[in-house]
Amino acid sequence: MQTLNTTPGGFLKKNRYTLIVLLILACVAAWMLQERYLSMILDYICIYTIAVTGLDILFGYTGQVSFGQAGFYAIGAYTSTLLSINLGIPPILSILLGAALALLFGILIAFPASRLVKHFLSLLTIAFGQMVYTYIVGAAWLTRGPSGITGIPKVSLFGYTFKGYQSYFWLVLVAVVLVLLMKRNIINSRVGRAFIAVRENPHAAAGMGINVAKYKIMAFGISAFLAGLAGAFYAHMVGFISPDTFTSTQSNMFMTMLLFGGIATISGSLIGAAIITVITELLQSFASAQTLVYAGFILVVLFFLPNGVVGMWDKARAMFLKKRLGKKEVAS
Amino acid sequence: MLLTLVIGALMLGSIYGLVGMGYGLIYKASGLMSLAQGDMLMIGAFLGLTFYKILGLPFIVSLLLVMVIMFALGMFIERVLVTSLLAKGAQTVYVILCTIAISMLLQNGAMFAWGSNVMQFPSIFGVSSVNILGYEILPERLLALGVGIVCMLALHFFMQKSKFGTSMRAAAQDEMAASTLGINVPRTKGAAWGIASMLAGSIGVVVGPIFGVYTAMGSLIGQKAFASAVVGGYGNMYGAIVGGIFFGFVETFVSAYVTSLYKDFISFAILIIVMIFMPTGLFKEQVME
Amino acid sequence: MKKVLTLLLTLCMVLSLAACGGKDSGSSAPADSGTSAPADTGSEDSGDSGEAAPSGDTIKIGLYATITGPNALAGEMAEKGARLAIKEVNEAGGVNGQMLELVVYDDKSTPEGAVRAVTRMVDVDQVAAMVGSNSSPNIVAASQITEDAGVLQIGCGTSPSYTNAGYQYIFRGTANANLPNAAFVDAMTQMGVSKVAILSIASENGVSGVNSTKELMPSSMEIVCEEQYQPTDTDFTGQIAKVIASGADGVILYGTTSDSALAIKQLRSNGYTGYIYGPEALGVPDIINVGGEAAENVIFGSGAIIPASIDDAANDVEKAMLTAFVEEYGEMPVSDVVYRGYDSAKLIAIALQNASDMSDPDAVREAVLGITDHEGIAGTYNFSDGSGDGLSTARAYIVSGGKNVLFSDWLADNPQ
Repeated sequence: MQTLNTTPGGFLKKNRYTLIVLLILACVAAWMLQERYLSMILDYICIYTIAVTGLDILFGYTGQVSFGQAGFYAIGAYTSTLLSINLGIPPILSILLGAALALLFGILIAFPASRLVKHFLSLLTIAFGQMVYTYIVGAAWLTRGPSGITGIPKVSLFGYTFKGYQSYFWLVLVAVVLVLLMKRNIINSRVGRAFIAVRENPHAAAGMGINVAKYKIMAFGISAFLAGLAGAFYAHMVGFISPDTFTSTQSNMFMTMLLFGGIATISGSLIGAAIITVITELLQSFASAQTLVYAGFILVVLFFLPNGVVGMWDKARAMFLKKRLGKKEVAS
Repeated sequence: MLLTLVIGALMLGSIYGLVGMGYGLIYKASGLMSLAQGDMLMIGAFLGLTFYKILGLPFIVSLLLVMVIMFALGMFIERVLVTSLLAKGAQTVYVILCTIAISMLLQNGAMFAWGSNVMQFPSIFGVSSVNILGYEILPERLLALGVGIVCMLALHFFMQKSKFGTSMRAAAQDEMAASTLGINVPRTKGAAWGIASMLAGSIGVVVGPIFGVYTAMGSLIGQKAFASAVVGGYGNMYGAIVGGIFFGFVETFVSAYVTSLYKDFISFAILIIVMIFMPTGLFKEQVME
Repeated sequence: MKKVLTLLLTLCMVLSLAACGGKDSGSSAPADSGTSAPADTGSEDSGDSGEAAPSGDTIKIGLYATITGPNALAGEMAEKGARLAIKEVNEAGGVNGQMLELVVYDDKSTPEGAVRAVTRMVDVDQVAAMVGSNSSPNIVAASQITEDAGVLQIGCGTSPSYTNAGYQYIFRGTANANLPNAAFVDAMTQMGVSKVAILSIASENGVSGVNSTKELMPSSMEIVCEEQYQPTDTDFTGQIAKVIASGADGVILYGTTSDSALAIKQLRSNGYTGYIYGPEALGVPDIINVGGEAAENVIFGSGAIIPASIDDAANDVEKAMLTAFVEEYGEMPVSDVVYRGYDSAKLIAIALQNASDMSDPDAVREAVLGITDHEGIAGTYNFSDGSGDGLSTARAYIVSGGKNVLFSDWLADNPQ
């Protein structure tokens, strides 16, 4: 929560660790951008960050769990793809339309969901994800079924086409920055405080005059919009989509990324997405044992990193500061 | 055709119902949810196959052995993993994610132990089909149905008549009061998880000869079973059975008379509709916040 | 706001510096430079691998397949087959004296996984050529990458989709699904089937397979029932009841191995006693192992099958390969996907050997087109027509007496 501090004064000094980390990150990203393969990893990290940020607003801030984000991800991807291929809508617009349709579905699903407690919410969202998946497999007249859709057009903006992974990175980077800014502004606004109130104690929130259902629906809508946006970006990056991408494994991965990075923090979704994406790539060397290692990894996170990487970082910094403070006291 | 469908639906329904009962038990006893029950069914099937086919034990011995092992496994997961997670103050969603990880571990572990191809569970009766009213029925289907009914009745009497069953029900109703009465609440919780995985494991042994045994066999059954538990009224043992049979009939008859392509779509849609308009299920269990 | 702005500016500055650096080094000029045709970037990339090859002692050959996920078994078989082929090539002196090295990645049975794996093989490992996945949609998803980079890819998937897409550097190391389909449809004609029921899996393999089968069917056959099941389904009672009630005198079963075995058992236990027709998935040993008696009278089309024992091998190439396989891994392969991996890797080695310049994509393509009579396990490969397919025949087999028997032999003994 300390990142929510908004006082501008003494900013550089106060945040020098964050700044150093960001600088290192930028250097790493810069180095990665020289290789197409590594740029692709960066692109994936950005896309996942968008989806995980949505989940964080829903789960981290509002306390509403969802194991069906892959459903919204799929709606965004398929809507944008079909609009751009069948109706010739420019991808930059169809991406937004895809996200908008996901938003609509998010609100639809949120009406019943806002009344359910955690377990049933989990199940409802799992069922929703499964419904979307079985629909895109079944509705071959629309989605070409399990064969998938090829030849998805690339994104163009002002006559410039984002064709390769390197150039696409700039597009998704801008999206990520906008999304993170949006998240920050929402969290610091009245809406964000209402979200947190709903998470902490829905009854108390209702007692204070907060319309609990409204904020739950709003959180669902935002998370669906962002998942849809990520899905649409994914479709136009790879140029091919098929139902295999949109299974519950994907939903679980978003949740793992969020928990790993740390919930209810600004940077947690980015850190989680980055680390899990890199780890799954590194796991390739375990061949058929990679799922085993991945599952073991989730358990380790659950048991030893309950607050995610960000939580660990904050804890370490707090300990460091305390130590230094202690030394000063001794010296004086 | 109709009788075949009805028997098929009843069998599928009792599988969903029994696994669903496990979800209900876990929820009642600990207020938690496990997503690994489908994989418990798979592990049970593999263990049964190992005892029956590879070690050559009699079927009933294999079944009992599987039940013991599965009970211990379920108990282990609750007593060791879940309890220590909760002791760290983790939210319930962490427990759900933990069971997802367990499910991945079980599936991948089974792949290493038994390989990734479908294994054949030899026929238990040695006849390929029995003739009922002129219809060919696989005897294992009747066995699955029979084991389902027996398990249900046994669980009913265990919960209602035995001392431990009564203390489990008491602990589920009011943890605090139960522990002041000297009931070992942690043990009843562990036992509930144990019984749940025992149910799933034993049904796995029975469906092995029908479905074949492979690592992914439980994943969808687990979700359908969950749906059954919800439609019946989550936490209500009998509701799960009714819900299971409901889904058994929906699936079988939808794919026979309407569309096999949208079968799962319809099942999940029904689930969502039930959750919207009848969140307490058929047996009016409380699920709202 | 100020804070965020500062952060953003820093980030952007460093990144843009880097991007310039990236472009200068030109290791893989972003394809977005506008008008550049795919072939241009292609020659550049393969130029890289051309430089890399002489410096190292080995030539890297990539392979991506479904190592994990629902089709893990098939992926494992493709890998083992390719490994064996590479080992044999190396023992015979390698390619132009250079040893081959196999780089294996898992495509996780998803197109996304395939895209990642292939990009990594092309850019990081800089493979000279690669064996494509046993999953056709995964090849479709990844083919643009190898096409742009001019890397030869020989796929293990059977769907016509990826060789029909008009790519230059993609070939197939097994039989096009149309061939086995034609073989079993032909058997159906000979058996006098008039009313057909189709039961298929709702996956790319099932959908494209059923479409191709329908096109091959003579007009005398009428489809009386068409049912699908999901890959995750375990119980087919509803679909099978419909199939049986339709009164069909022949059932086409189009699925993958594991679900086909299940479907055959359930068809039989629900009282279907007639013949079951299908593609090569019905020809793996597991069908007989798992199905037992239920597998009798299953008729399937296939390029090559795994025989019951090495002595039953159809030809000398197959016999030699199986002997080597058992020596290497201690057991018989369990799926014909092993042949696909083996044939594909062998074809790659031949193409690289014959190419005038291994680093020139067009020379490699010419070398593949020049393969006209390679005796593979699935048959004689001839790529000269440029279609991407090397095989032109597949045969029909029938399960009879617990063994796969050539359908023509069986028909001669059992005239219908």
